[in-house]
This record gives sequence, C-alpha cells and structure tokens, in this order.
Amino acid sequence: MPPDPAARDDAGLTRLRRELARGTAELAVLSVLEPSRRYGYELLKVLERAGQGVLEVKEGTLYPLLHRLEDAGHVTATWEVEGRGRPRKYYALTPAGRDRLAALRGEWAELVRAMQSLLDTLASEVSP
Amino acid sequence: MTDPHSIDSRVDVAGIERYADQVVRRLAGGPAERRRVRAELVAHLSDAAEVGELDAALRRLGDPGAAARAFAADRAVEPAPAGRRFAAAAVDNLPLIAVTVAVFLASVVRAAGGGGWAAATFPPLLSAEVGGVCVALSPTVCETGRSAGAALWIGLALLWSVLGLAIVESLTGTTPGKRLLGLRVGTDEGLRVPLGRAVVRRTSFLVGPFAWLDWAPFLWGDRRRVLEHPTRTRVVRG
Repeated sequence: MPPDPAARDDAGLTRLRRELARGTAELAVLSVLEPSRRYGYELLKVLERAGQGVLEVKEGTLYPLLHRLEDAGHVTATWEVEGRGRPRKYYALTPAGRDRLAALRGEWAELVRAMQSLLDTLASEVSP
Repeated sequence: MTDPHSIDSRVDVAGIERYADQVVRRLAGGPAERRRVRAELVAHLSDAAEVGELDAALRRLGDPGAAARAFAADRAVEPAPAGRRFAAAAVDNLPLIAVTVAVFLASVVRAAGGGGWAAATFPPLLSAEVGGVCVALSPTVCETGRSAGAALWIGLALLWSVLGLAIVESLTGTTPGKRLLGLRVGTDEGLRVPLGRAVVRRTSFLVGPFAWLDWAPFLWGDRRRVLEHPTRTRVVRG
C-alpha cells in the first residue's frame, strides 16, 4: 500500500524541524549562555521553555555541541560543588564565544530578512 | 515487559551510574573523554531525577546504544598518521615477527647443513600437510622441512595477531602498540568496534605476504587499510 500522503508530509515536517533545530542549536545555546552561566540540565530547560516546543534540542544534541564549543574555546566548563554536595558542570561564554555569538546573530538576521523579503515578493506576485 | 535500561524514578544514583557506564562503555574515545561524558551524564540525570523528570530525560536519550551514538556523533577526529600506524602494528605483532625470524634462522641452519634455500615471508604462510595433502589458507605450496613445532608457533602467533588483538581492541578501543603510539580504533560512528568486525579487519594476516596489499591504500594517501572500509572502522589519534 502506498504511504499516506498526509503521514509523509508530517514526517517531512518533523525532519525539517529537526534539521532547523540542529542548524540553529549553536546560536540558541550561545544566546542562552550570554546573560549568565548555566549548568547542563538548566540550559536544556531554558531552551525548552524559550523555544516553546518548536526548538527541539535534546541531550544527545546539546552535550556534543557543548563539547565542540568548549574545544573551540567559545565556552568554558567548570565543575563546582555547592552546598548540595553533588557536582554540577557550569558552562560560560568566553570573549571568543561572544564574538561568535555576534557573528551568528548577524548571519541569522540576514537570513530571516532575506527569507521574509522573498516570501513577501512572491506573495505580492500571487495575490491579485 | 520491563525495559532493562529503565531506572526507577526515585533518585536511584546506582541506576543512573549504571546507565552512564553502559553508555561510555560503547564510546571509542580515550579514558579522559569517557570520564567527561560519564560525569556529565550522571550530573544531568541526577538533576533530572531531583525534579522528577528522570523518565523524560531517559526517553530523550534513548537506550545506551542510542545515547552513545549521539555523544560520539560529529566529533572531529584526526586519522592516525601512517608512520605511527606502522610502528603500532610492529609493536602489536612482535610475537609474529619473532616467530618469523626464528623460523627463518632455522631454515638458514637447515640450508647450511643440507643445501637448498633459506627463505621466509612476513606474515608467514600458514600451511600443513594433512595426510599427504597440503592445506593452506593462501595460494601456496606446503613448505618442506618445516617442523610441527614451528607450525604450532606460527599458528599461535597468528592467533594473537588476528583474534587476540581483536579481542583487546574490542574491549578497550586500543591495542598495546596503539596505546604506546597514542592511537585508538573505533567505528565510523565513533563507537567501540564489535568483536566480529574487529576480527574481520585483521584477517589479512591469514594470507601470508599478500597481507601487505591490505596496506596499499596508504600509497595513494588513503589512511585506511583495505579491510577497514568494509568493516567501517578507523584508527585515529587519541
């Protein structure tokens, strides 16, 4: 039996959403770390809340990304034991990470502007 | 049915640590990387458990295999330089080298005593006469005059080079030679090599000197042996 077109569209949208989330994860993580340092679980929850369910960043994406950002010198990671007795690893932006964030924001703004202009142009051509 | 990887939602530190161990056991990275991932996972899952969200966190991570694949993905790895790989292979296969030299010296003594030629190949050819018929794993003739003892030693050395090193590689992600030269071996996904694939990538030793063909890709700059392509394995710095 051929696949249901509606189900195929849903799967396609899910994949697109996942790819968009992956492509924008670095910008999202650096943005969350800009005002203050965060530990891993807190970072995930902020992303979940701020992303309103659209920006889907899971542990399996977040930690490898943090490792890459750490290796690239964009974030620092330090283990700290507070009063709780259990260590937490805090991630914070470095000056190089702030430069990277500024560059990514610029790229993002340009992409959104260009995409909006394209959609507006096409919409005006289609509408009578 | 109970999921063997599920952890009781009441903050079960032992369960969390067990899950983290199962994840890092699959990673091909070195001890430092595995310690880092384990510590992060334990801290993360403990934080999730504290707010009653452990099950949700585990669902997102998936079974230990899926979590290991995610943690290993996108990790930049540098292929091992050819010189280091040759040096590591020499160290790992010292028993086979020693046996080859000993068999060659014995054939020299035999040739000096009774005439004929002294010859040896590396890796040595594994052959034996069974009921007057030559049995060999490679296209060869049975070597005349080779003692049963020599054949036994060659067999044992080959067993180490193929099966012994494959087991060590599969369990630890490295071999004595690779460890000495700062190298590791893993799958293309960055995971430990399963035993079957670890054995297959070493089987070129069984075809005598034809084994060198396995290293031919290094001549045109491909830093993988022939058998590392079908087994989807690679040797990297680490």
